[in-house]
Amino acid sequence: MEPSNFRRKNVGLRLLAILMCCGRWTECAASSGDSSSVQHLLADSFREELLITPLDTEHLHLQFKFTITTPRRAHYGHVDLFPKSVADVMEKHALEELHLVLTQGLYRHRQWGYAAEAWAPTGAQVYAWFSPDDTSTPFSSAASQHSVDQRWKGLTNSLAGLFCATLNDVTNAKSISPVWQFRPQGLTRAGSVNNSLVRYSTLPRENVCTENLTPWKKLLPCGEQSGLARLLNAIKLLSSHYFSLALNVRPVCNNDNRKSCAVEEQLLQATFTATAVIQPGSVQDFNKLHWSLKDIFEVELERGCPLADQSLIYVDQGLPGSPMQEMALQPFPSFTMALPENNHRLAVYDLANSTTFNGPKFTLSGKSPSTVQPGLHEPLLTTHRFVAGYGQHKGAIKCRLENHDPTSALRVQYLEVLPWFLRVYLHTLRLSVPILRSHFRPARDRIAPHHIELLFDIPSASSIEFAVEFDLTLLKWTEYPPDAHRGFDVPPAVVAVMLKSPEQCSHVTMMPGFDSCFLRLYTEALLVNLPTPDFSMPYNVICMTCTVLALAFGPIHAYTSKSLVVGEKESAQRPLVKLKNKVKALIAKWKARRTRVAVPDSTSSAEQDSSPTS
Amino acid sequence: MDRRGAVQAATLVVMGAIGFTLRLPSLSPGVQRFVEDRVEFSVPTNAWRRAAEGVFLHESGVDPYEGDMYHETPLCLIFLTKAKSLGETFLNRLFPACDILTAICLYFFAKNLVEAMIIQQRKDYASLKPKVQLLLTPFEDIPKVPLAVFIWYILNPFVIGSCMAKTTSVFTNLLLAAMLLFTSFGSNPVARVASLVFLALASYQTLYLFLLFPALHLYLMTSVPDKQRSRLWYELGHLVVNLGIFGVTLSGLVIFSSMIMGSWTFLRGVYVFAVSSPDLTPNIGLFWYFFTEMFEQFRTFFVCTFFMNVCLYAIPVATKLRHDPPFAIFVLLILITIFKPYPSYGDVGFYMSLFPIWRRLEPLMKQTLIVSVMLLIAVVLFPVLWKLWIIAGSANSNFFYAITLVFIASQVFFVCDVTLAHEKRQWQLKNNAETLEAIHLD
Repeated sequence: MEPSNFRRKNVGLRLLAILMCCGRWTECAASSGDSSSVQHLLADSFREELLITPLDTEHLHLQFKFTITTPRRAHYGHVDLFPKSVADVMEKHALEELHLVLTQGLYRHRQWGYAAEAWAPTGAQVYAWFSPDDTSTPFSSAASQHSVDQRWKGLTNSLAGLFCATLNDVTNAKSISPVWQFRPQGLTRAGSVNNSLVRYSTLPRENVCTENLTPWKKLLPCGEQSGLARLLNAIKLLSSHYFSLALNVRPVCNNDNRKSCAVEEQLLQATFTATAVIQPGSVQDFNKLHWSLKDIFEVELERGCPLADQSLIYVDQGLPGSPMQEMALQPFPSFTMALPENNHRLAVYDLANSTTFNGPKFTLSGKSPSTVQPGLHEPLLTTHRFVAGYGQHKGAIKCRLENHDPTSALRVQYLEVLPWFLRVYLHTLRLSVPILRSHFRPARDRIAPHHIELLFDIPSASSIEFAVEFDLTLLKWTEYPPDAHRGFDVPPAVVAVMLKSPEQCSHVTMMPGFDSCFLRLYTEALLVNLPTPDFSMPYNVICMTCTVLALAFGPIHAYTSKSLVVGEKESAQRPLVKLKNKVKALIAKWKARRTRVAVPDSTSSAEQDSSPTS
Repeated sequence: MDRRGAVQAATLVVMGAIGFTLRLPSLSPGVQRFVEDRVEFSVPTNAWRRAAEGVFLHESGVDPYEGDMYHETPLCLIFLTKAKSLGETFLNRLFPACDILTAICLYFFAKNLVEAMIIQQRKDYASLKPKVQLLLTPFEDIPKVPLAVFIWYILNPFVIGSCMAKTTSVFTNLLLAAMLLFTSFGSNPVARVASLVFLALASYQTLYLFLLFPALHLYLMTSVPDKQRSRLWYELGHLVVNLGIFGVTLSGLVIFSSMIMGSWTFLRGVYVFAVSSPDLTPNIGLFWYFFTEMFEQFRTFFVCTFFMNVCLYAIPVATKLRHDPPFAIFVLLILITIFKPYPSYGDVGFYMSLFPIWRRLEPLMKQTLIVSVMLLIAVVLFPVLWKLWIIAGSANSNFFYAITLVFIASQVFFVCDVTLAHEKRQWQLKNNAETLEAIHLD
């Protein structure tokens, strides 16, 4: 997901120069299986960027991106700039790739257009590619022998600790192995792209707060002490309309060749992304977008991070001819450039260059022309998902997808992960267009969610609807959260699409190595109300149910173990009664003998006493 | 006699036609939708929506037992897949047709049974006081009772609703009725084998029905000549043969199913599910709220206890009623319906339609009013309290739970009442006693 070829090449050259100067250019190791023989030819590098994109008359999209690379190896004993804890997580759970994003709010692509690169679902999302259990590769660690499920559990627990998020809630009951979606984004090798090696999960209810932002910032080489990370003012970011924190770790190649990459040229790249949609203006500035970094963050920038190879701020000025081109920027940018993929013009500020600073501190402000047309970034594909039905017995999940392209159809990959407590009837799945490919996996209670993946075409300039019905079930009383009546969250659906022409991509930056741009949208997360039991009832229910049980058991037991007989005669015949009478008679006899008192008819009276009366 | 026979046949045909029409979903689509959604009719083990889901998954190449939606047996799956491929109209007629077939089976079963009862009582109770003779099954019951059974089944709202909702209870009921019919044919060896095979099929379909085996065995033994019955070796031999036929058929069905499915996963989806009742969707049974509110550490204990409880009754009831095994089957059917985790109106309707066979017990029953009022209240209040809880949100789960308790208690009272009435009748006949005074339960 490189923003541009330009930047990538530039970094590559710089890295090469540094290495040459340092004289660490040793002989190339043979690309054999022995990982210890791999020499580290490359040093860690760090790049910080901020992309500012005006969305419409009111909103500004800000994306901070901190990219750290380190040579890839089996064991990260020592790292320079690369965060050690992230490297340890990658090593300990034998990961190929890791993607984590924590998001507050919903990205309104219908209103704001597509944002650059990061689209994230509300709450937490994590997916990871695991290394196959294959010792022949140079980067395999001992952990790869553990099962993927074990490593996934370990990973989510590690991430929970690392980012203070409740990612330990990610269980197998909330995870799937996507079949077509969430392919690896970095280098792959033979046998590593197998969907048994990927796990994906979302926690739509996760709240993102400063407690997540602080540990995230601490992983950066400069922390929040200097550089662009200084701008990450928690109060300002968390009061924005949309805020998303991401960490993406993937293997990349030092050269541009994605197909084959020598072992010594492989890098591990961690990208820390913070995205916010902020409303900078005041009410008076209606229809005018007027912003400055100082107003937005209440922090001023002194310089870029000294450890960074590059420290850049970009301002997206849109396509040629767009009103954003006339945005008045203060100070004047270091240079402007056009993205070759979609012709967007970017104004670039290089914070490493002291001429950029128009004083001791760097203040950047922009003023849009008098009017900016709304609907500037008319998105090509929009989605809307909702729950249909009433009551707590059954319902349906519907998703409306609209293709606004007047000429061509869109091929869409659609992924639904529905929790097991919705009893989804897959045979009620309705889609108004033919399904080209489908993958279903029904849920198992408390073990696996429903997994629906579809591939279909949306015809040009039309709207289609996906619908599937479900029943709601009662859970065990201990499985309800304390606020049971708030409802249960249903993760968002994922819609992935390849846009064909660069113009369609609008704000979307190009994926390296692809002719068309890749777009992934997340729909709304939903809330469903499950029927609830009375939580104060356990003892009562146990008592009353068992009473009814006893009500049947008692009479049936009596009925089957006894029979109707007439009185004394038969009961006197019973062996136990006979024995009892005999014993009684004997005792009476013995008593009589002992006291030597003649008691007439003592035995007969004893017998009479012992005989049962009706 | 011929004329009466013709009238009887005409009545059967007319009632059958009415019953068939009443069960057609096209007659009242609103009612059909209503009953299909009702938890009293559709439970996880018999609901049509779940069956259709299983068929869909099977056709999509997914193992239906991998998920937790489908709990029918593999043979049922194959059968429904075939049936579904023949179209909606066929399906809409298949269910009513099966139900009519069940009614016909029950009709002939009742006929055979009443005839056998009359023969038996003439043999057993030759000279009775006139008042006591009133307790005997009279000759006029031979045409009347089977017709009553037929009509009770055909016009039973529980059964009609169950059929309209396309629950698979329809097939279980058919298998049970066929079992009863073949058993009533007596000493014919083919019929004997058939009845055991049908019991195996019914048990395969609904696990708990295997509990009918002891009673069925004794029923089959009634047709064996007395000379043989008195000898232990003959008796043991018969038991081994019957158990063998039943066991071999049942295990054959299970093994055949695993061969069809290519795995044993269905055992978990069908039988483990039927015992451990993990699906807590409300129903008219005793289990759902109990296991919703259960403390986690006691869950296994109570699952075992409840399973043992339902199994407990089979042998004692069969032994107690060894002289009247059809009645033992009737009592066991009620007890199984009460104590199985997912009972539905289909099961209730089935045993209810058998009651006319023992209608001579009715004068001896003491709680008919209480039972019928409780039953009526429960049936009316089920949908009302469901709506208040689930749709309106103005009531809570306790309301619905309370009414399930009333419904179960009414069935418990009924089974206690009917068994006690049977005991009294037997006693009066045996002792040639006019009244029940001066007797007591010892």
